[in-house]
Amino acid sequence: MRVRALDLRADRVVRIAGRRHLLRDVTLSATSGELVAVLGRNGAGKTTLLSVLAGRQNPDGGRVTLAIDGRPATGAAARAAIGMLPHDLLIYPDLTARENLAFFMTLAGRAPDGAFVSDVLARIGLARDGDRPVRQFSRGMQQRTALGRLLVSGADAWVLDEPTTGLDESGRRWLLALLSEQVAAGRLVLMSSHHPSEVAACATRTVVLEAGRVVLDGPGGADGTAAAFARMDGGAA
Amino acid sequence: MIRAWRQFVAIVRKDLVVEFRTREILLTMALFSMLLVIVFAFAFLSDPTRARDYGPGIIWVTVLFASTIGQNRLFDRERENGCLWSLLLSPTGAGTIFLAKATTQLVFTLLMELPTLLLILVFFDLPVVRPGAFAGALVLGTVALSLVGTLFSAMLMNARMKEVLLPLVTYPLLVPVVIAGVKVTSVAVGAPVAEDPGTWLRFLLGFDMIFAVATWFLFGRMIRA
Amino acid sequence: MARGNLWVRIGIVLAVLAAAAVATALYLVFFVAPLEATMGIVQKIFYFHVGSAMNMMLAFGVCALAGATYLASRPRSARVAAVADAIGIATAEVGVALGAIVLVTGPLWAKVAWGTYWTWEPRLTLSLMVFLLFVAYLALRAYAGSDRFGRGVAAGLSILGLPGIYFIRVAVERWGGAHPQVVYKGGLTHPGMRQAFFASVIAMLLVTATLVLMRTLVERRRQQVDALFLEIDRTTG
Repeated sequence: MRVRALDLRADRVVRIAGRRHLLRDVTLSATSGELVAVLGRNGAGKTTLLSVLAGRQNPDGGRVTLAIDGRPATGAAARAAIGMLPHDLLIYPDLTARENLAFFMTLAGRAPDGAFVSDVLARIGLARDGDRPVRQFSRGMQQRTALGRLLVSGADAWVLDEPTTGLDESGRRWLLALLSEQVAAGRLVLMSSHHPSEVAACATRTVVLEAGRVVLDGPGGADGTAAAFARMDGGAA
Repeated sequence: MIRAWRQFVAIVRKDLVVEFRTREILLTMALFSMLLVIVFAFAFLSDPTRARDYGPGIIWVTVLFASTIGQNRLFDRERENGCLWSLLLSPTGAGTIFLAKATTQLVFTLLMELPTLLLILVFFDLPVVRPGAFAGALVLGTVALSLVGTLFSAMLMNARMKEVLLPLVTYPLLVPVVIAGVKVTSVAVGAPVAEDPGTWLRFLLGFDMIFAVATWFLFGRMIRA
Repeated sequence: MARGNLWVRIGIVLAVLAAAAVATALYLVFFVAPLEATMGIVQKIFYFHVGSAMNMMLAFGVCALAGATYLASRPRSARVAAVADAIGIATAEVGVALGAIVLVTGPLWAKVAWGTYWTWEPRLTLSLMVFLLFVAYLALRAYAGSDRFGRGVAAGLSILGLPGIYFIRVAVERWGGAHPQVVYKGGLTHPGMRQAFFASVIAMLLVTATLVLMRTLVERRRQQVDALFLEIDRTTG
């Protein structure tokens, strides 16, 4: 399946909870081929921002717009284009990995394809364990299953909220390699992390959030990461 | 359309497969309802000759309570893994998701009703003189319970006090269903009442049709806050 | 805030009218309408009982309309949604109060008229159900979250209450098949009684309107206070 060109924009997005702001006038845009690292301390609003961008929450102010191949997309078409991997992994523990992937493939509106599912299982390293219930998996294996969900759905943009949580060193490296691969193939990847260092190598853009505001939006790589570190450390208490 | 049908079937199948692997919900509902029947037997059976008068009422109270418990459990499971969101974030329409969940609830409740009804008919020695009306009332009534119950149990999935809120909100709406159900069931077990089951069955059908459309339409609007 | 003050002024005018109407109605009820033969002075409960019941139904209709407006305007206009939401809670609270009046005056009247405090007579039963729906609405607002989500659920309930009340009415009327049908209007033979009846219904209508308007304004003020807190949070957070 061809990866389409996406243009995802947040335009002065506001998100409130009672009398507090979670996001204040956040303006951000991301396009296919980017790996955007969303950084910030706890409570900075990373999860909220990603939820709003992925369509899981509606903004209380401002707008989120998505264009696919230059044309605006809303509703089901927009949801088909964006895949999200939040903290709660959104997979069914009582189904096997294979059943999970087949289910989500159908949900994504694609005709069931057993061979494709097997391919994806192999790619995420679960070829052998594909027919065991996910409940028996380790966190790392569950994470891989959740990533498999994104792969079978054919989404052109991936939004991942702290996907490296609970992974060991090799798991993290595998994940970041997979993400870089996806970006190289033309996908848009947005991911949040507590640790700028781990995304240093692969991010093409670095965004730092603080108290719901974007305080830094610059290139990735080592320089971008250094700037992010400085911003996060030097930020007011 | 075909895609929506496939998605609908996939969700229902998934729920049934998961349930049959764990059997948590079915067992909870079935055990609870059977215990309730036994308690009712002790509460009401001091005069067995009048069983036909209150038997139908007991049937409907049991079905109502057990289905409420099942509804809470069904969405507890979705909430555990945030899985309702995996459904809502997919391109599948909210209406399709709702109908699939309501169908699952319907199937579970109907399955729970089978052993429970058997128990009631035996304990209370009720004859089924009009099986068509009997089955019709139960099916139509259960559809109503499933529609209203699924809508609100989905919405209240994360609410405080949802165990109390769900009946508080759904029972006033479902009272007409209980009234109609008891009327038809009374005739169906041969109680000496002067009611026309046809009228009440048409009433239930009308209720189902209107509420099916209303709940299906409202689900999407309400869940995407 | 000229518009806010306009509504407050309207509210004051309404309150004055309502007070005048209530005074007039009380006068007509106690000094013009004759004493009913069998029930004596207790029959006079009837005047305000029916007025309250009618206005409770009206309040429910308005609540349902407000709920529909809320859900429909929520994605488009935050202001219209906020007003609709305020009207929703106002009508629900006033509706509960009216319901309490109906459910207390009804049994008092019934005890003298029919010898029993409660009878499953269709109108009284319907009033009980509407009261319960209002209570459920308030419970949802209180416990299902004071955020957008909780308000949406309450609005949905109020909308479903419309066909709900229709079906309840039909079911309850056909339920007690052999019960004596109370014909309210049949007892109003004397023109003095009719005058008192109309006066009390109109008085209750004005009282209801005043209370709903005032409560809506209070709710709008509360919303504005929240908005002010949000504004502070936005600039200083």
